[in-house]
Order: sequence, then C-alpha cells, then structure tokens
Amino acid sequence: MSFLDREHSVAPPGFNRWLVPPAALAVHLSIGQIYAYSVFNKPLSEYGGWSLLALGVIFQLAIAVLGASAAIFGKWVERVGPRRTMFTAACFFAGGFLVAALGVATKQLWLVYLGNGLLGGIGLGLGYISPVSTLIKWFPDRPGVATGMAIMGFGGGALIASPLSVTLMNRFGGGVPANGITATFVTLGLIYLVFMLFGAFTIRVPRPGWAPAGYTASNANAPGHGMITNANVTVDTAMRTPQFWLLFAVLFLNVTAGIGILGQASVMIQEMFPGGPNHAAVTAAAAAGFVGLLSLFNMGGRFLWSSLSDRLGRKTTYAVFFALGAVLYFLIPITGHLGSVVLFVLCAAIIISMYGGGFATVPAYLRDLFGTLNVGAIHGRLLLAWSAAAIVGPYLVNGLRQSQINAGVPAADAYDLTMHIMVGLLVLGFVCNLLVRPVDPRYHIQPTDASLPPDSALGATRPSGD
Amino acid sequence: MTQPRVTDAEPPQEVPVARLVLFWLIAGVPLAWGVVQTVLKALPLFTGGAGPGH
Repeated sequence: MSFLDREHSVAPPGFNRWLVPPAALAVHLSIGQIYAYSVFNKPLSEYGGWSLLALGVIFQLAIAVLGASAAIFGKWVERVGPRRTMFTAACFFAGGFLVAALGVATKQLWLVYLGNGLLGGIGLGLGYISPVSTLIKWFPDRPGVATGMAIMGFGGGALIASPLSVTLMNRFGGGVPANGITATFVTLGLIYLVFMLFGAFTIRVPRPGWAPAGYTASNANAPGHGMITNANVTVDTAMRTPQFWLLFAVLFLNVTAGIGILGQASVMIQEMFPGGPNHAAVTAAAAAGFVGLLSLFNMGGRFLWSSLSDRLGRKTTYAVFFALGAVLYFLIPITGHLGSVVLFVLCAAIIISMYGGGFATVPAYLRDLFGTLNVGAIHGRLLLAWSAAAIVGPYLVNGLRQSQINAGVPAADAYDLTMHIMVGLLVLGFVCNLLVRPVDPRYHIQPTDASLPPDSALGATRPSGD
Repeated sequence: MTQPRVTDAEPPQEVPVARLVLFWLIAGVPLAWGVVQTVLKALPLFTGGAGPGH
C-alpha cells in the first residue's frame, strides 16, 4: 500500500491546485451525512422498537468520537499525509455503515452504536481534518477560501444524504421505510466508499517550498496582518499557549449558540408560531422546509464567511459573529411575540450561517496564529470544543425549555430565557475573541528543534519554479 | 523560525480543463441535486405553510 504514502501524493511540477478542492469536497460531502442521521430515527424506532432517546445517542456518539479521534490522530495525520488518512477515513466511515446494517438486520442496537457511532465517528474525525490542512497548504494566499471550500462540504452533506436516504429506504422497503434500512445502510456504505476513495486517490500535497504564482510569505498588507505569523508552532507547544484555549472557548461558544437553534429548529418554529388571529400555525411540512433552509445557510455560511475572513481578518470576522449573533438571538423571542415567521426565519438563517462560518474560519485562524506546519493536528485538538458543545448545547436548550414549561410558561414563550442565555454566551465569546493576540515568539519552532518532521518545509529554500 | 519567503514562484501552468471540469462535476453534481431537493422542500414555508399575515 505504498501508493498511499505521503511521498507518492506529492504534486508533480505544473500541477493545478484547483484539482484539490473537489477531492476535499468529496470526503466532506460524504462525512457530512451525519447531520442527516435523524432521518433514520423514526424508521429505526419502528423497526427495532428502540426509543428515540436511545437512537439520539448515535449522533452524539459520532460527534464525540469525531472530536476525540481528530485530537488523538492529528499528529499521525500530519505524519502520513492526506491520502493514507482519507483512505483510512473511507474504510472506517463506510465500514461503519456495513456494521450498522448488520446491527439493524439482527436487531442489535449496540452494533449500530459501534458502526455509525464509534467506527463512523473515527472516519468523521480523520476525514474532517485531513483535507482542511492540505488545502491550507495549497492556498496560502487565500486560506479562508480554502477552508471554506472544504468545510462547506460538511454542511452540504446533509442536503444530499437526507433526500437520498429517504428515497433509498422507500425503494428498498417497498414504500415502508422501516423495512428498507438494512439495504439502505449497505448501499450508502458502498456509495460513500467510492466517493471518498475518489477524494483519497486524487488528493495531492504541494512540494516543500512550493508557493502559488506571485505569492510571497510577506503579510504586511494582509487584513489583520498583525495576527498572522510566518513562523510555526508545534501542536504540543500550541496547547500551552493562551491563544489555543481562547480559540477553544471561541469555537465552543459559537457552536453552542448555533446548536441552540439547529438542534430544535423544527419543534421551535412550530411551538413559537402556534397560530393566532393574525397568522396561521406553522405546519409540519413548513417546519421541515425550515430545517432544510437552515442546512442551506449552514453550508453557504461556511464558504461565504470564511472567504470574507480573508478580507476582514479572522479576528474581525469572529467579532461580527458574536456581536451580530447576540443581537439576532435577542430579536428571536420578539419575532415570536410579533408573530412574524419571516423575521424569525431570517434571524435564524443568519445565525446558522455564522455557526457554519465559525467552523470554516477557525482553521484559517489557527494557521494565522500557529503557522501551517502542524495546523491539521492543532485543528484536531481544537475540535474537542465541538464535541463538548454538541453535548452542552442541546442539553442547555432542551433542559431550559422543559424547566420553563414545567414552571407553567406557555410553549410559545418557553424559548425566551434560552435565547437570552445564548446572548450571554455570545457576549462571553466576543470577549474571548477580543483577548486573542499574536503568539509569543518564544513558542515558535527554532531551527535546531528536534521535533521537526523529516519532510518539514522549514528551512527549505528551493525555488518552486521547477 | 520563519517559513521560507518564496520569491521564485511557479510560472503560469496550462490548465487541464477536461480534468478540472470532470473533478468539479463529480463533487458538484450531487451537491447541486441536494440543494435543489432542499429548496423544493422549503417551498411550503413561503407558500401557505404559515398562513396569511406572515
């Protein structure tokens, strides 16, 4: 399997870097399926008699394992390169579907946990970080665009997986989705295997010292140039800097706030707009459309905000996320009291675009602060903030909503307190982002540093005109 | 330790158009299909799903 080695994936002279984003997209569009996993909950519940609560664990487990595996294997990913990593991710993610199919066929829920939760989660973690760090190295002149292109795919994965899964379940089940789950899992596993292997086999890494035409490492004219370093910090050293933990808090708070809406979107819009003298109730079909619309904004925000951050600077972009997000969260209960569905949808859509934008902009932020050398591994460690937010966010929203209803507050008003707490979280995030400063040079890698990988580009002065 | 400052960048390359188009189609067509499906599903939200006055 030497074909998978890093040296066999180094781009030849004259290679066009725009061939790399489709490879990254193929992987991210595949693993983004996890956002649509809820389409299986009802059929699985009907087929196996499992509770929705027990089935909800699969998604949470997958996201938790995503963060853990990205953190644990980050160094390995940097060492072996993107091709072997993406190949491994494909095997885990697709294999997870096959194991889950066996679990469904034998009605063993633990096998579904093992397949889609644990094995799939490892595939998610490896597949998530590898293309991102590779694209950052290919697009040093536009890191925001690069990370936006890849991570947009993760948001867009649900747009494909949701209708595809429903279509397959209906076809294999003869119109009864619950009867078609096993065959659907097998089919999805094979489809995603092929799609992810396309990414693995077409991915390339740039030669050491390569740079795009006309690019120099000077950043004097770049937005937020004071925040951008041309030095490098290793992953272990990065974790000892305050900047890493401030960004950990920034990502955690931004994701927690976004999940506050994303996780409860369908229920929230129906409860906040139950119908009244001036407006009709939001139907289940319209609520499903609202969820789809949020997925679109989640995906679009990843590319647009991240690309915009190349012009605004990363720190300013996050300041916009937190300031604008706080205002919009404050407005959401008001839109409910006004009975304005359109205003509510608009506020929620912009919030979710910034939720996606936060994911896509953070690798470029890391690259600005810590350099490109270990950005994949550092990104992997930072994704633990996502795992934490995936647990805390829904608990916060669901728990607060339930406590409000238990206290006698009408369902339509039960979200007011939650939204105001989200405002508080976003203000805290704004402060954390404000405190981010350039990394102290004492943390930078020195020329004699023994921790440098053998194929490091550091110190390479080879002209890239070959 | 700073990264190398590359001043001798690659000359303009001949773009392999066919391969570029093929790769982007492989990634883009499924995504476009998903976007269309999602937009169609979202239509009830603006076509009476929430009734008058919204």
